[in-house]
Formats: sequence, C-alpha cells, structure tokens
Amino acid sequence: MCLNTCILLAQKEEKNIESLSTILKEHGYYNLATARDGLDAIKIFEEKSPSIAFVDTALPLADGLTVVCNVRQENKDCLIAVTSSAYNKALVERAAGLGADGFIIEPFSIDYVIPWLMVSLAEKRRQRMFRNEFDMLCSDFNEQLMLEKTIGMISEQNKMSYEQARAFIEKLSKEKEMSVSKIVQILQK
Amino acid sequence: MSCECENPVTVLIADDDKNVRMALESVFAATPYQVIAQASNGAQALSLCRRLSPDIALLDIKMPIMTGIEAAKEIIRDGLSGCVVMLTAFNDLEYVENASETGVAGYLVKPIDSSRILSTLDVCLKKAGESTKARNDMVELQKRQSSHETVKRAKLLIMENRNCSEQDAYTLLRELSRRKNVSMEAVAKGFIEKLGGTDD
Repeated sequence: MCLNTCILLAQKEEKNIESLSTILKEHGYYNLATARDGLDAIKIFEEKSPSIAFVDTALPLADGLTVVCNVRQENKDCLIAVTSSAYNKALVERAAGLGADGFIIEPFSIDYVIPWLMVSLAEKRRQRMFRNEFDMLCSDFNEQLMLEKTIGMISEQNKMSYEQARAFIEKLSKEKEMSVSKIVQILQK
Repeated sequence: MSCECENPVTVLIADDDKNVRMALESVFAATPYQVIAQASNGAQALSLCRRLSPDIALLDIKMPIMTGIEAAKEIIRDGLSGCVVMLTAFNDLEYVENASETGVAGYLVKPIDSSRILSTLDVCLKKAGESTKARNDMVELQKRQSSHETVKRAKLLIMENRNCSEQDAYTLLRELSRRKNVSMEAVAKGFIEKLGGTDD
C-alpha cells in the first residue's frame, strides 16, 4: 500500500483523531482526511475514495455501522476498521457482517493499530488476487460455453460437422479481424 | 469454565508461559470460545492442530523447538485450523511483516487484553468463514470445468463414432444419464473408456 494513500479518520472524539493521526504519521501515512459525523464520513468516501478508514461506531447523525453499510456496496477494496470504546460481541459481529475488516477497541496504541493495519493489508491483497483469479476463471469458462453453444448452433443450421463449424468461426475471426469471443457474442444475439 | 454454547468455537492456545495460557483460559471463560488444547511449543501446537482442527489457533511467537511463525506457516499451508492469530510480546515490524506474509488473520501484542482478543477473534472467525466459502466456490468452479471438459470430449468421440451432430451426441449422454440415474460426467467417462479416448 502506497504511503500516499488516503486514510479516513471518522471519529466522534477529537482526541481519537489526534491519537490515530499521531500513530499513522509516525508510520509515514500523511494523507489523512477527517470526519466528525457519519454524513461527512460518507461524503468523504464518495469524494476521496479512501483506501483505509477508521470508523467510530458512536458517530453522530449516521453511526459507524450505517456508514459501513452505505459505503461497502460501492467500495469493496477499502480496508475498514470499525472502532469502539468497548467490546460488544453483537456489535462486532454486525460490523463484520456488514463487511468491516477489523474491530478496534479504544484507546488506540501503536502496538495495536499498526499490526492490525499490516496484517489486514496483506489479507486484502490476497483476497484481491484470489477474487481476480476466480473472476478470470469464471469469465474464461463462460466464454468457452458460449463458443461451444455457437459452434453447435452453426453446425445445426448449416449441416456442418462440429470441427467445420469451429473452423468457420475461426476463419471469420481472421477475415474480419475480430476476436472469436466478439464474433460469438454477435452471433448469439 | 466456558459457556454452554451449542456450537462452541474451538481454540488452541500455544505459549511457553503457563501463566499466559491460564490467563487466556480465563479470557475465554463464559464466552463461546472453548479452549480444546494447549501447547507449550510450536511443534506441539502443529501436531495438536493436525489432530483436532481447531477453529482458531492462537499462537505465541517465541517458543522452543518450533517458533509460532514456523508453526503458523504449516498450519495455514495445510489448512489445519480455521484461522491463525498471533499473540506475542514482539512488536517489531519485521515480526509483524513476517506473520502477515505467512497469512495470519490477526496479530496482537501483549499484555493480554480480553476486549482486544475477543473482538479480533470474532472478526477473524467471520473472515475465515468467508475465505472458506470463496475457496469452496473455486473448487466447485474447477469441478464444473473438469466435468464439462469430460462431457465435451465424450461428445466429440460420439459424433465421430456415430457420425451424428453435437446436439444428438449431447441428447444421447443426457438420456443415458437420466435413465441410469448417474451424472452426465459419469456417462461421459464410460463413453471415453469405451470409444478409446483417455480421460486424463
């Protein structure tokens, strides 16, 4: 993660913003945005797309979980820690269920926040790689299914063998200088 | 004493300090977390994870015989625990970095703080469930691809052998699958064997 990455500190208490700022600046993170209520937090999510956020459960106007709920659908990649003054199992589970990556209990300390951040960033990277690999496999498979369906369709319509129909599509792709998948898409429509 | 939950979350704790293990046991008392095993070194933790597959392995780093990081590496690689969380006195970034790259789900620095431990484990457990689901989805997709490949090869062999269309070959496989009440993949494998192809 680039140190210039934008980090949102959405905290009801000024002292929490100060302590998180100190910890993060000590580790080279200077691009910090702050919000003191949930509506401002959501606005900053929309305007600055922070990569990391520390969101207080006790934010006024829209609480931390409402913020997470609002932004998570749009922003899958942001690393979000929900923060709270006390442990409450139901709250932690709700936060995690809404897509929070961590639940950090105040007071914030360097030994607590930085390891969480490092471990979570590494986990996020792994998740992203896994998701990309899965999406690519899905898309390749779907393309393959579409191609086979099209070959079947052409071979039925033109009384061609399966191999002839495949060769026909490949020839079209060459002649028209279009990818096989693009031709399949058009023919299927 | 753990609470009497219907589905307790099983935890293995590994620390060479007996006092730490006892303190952790009291953290988990009256919570859904149930300590099912304790280890005083990394090798013992690894062997207990192999035997008991706990939901969570909570490991110290500096332990004799095998360090917590070394144990974590093998536990994660072999999927012996739902997730691994480090609980250590070391706050050096080098250790944290090392643990992160190993794939641990959490890293907590001592002294023991029950709120921090419980909230970290709650989140890690939830994330572990999501990772398991994602891995299962991947396995399922790979199975579908492999099954599709087998059916496709069988179709081509049938088409060549019977001089029929792809649709006819597909219908034949589907009908046999329905009549024999077995998967199309199984029928396809039978054809591949019979018609001389290899199913590798």
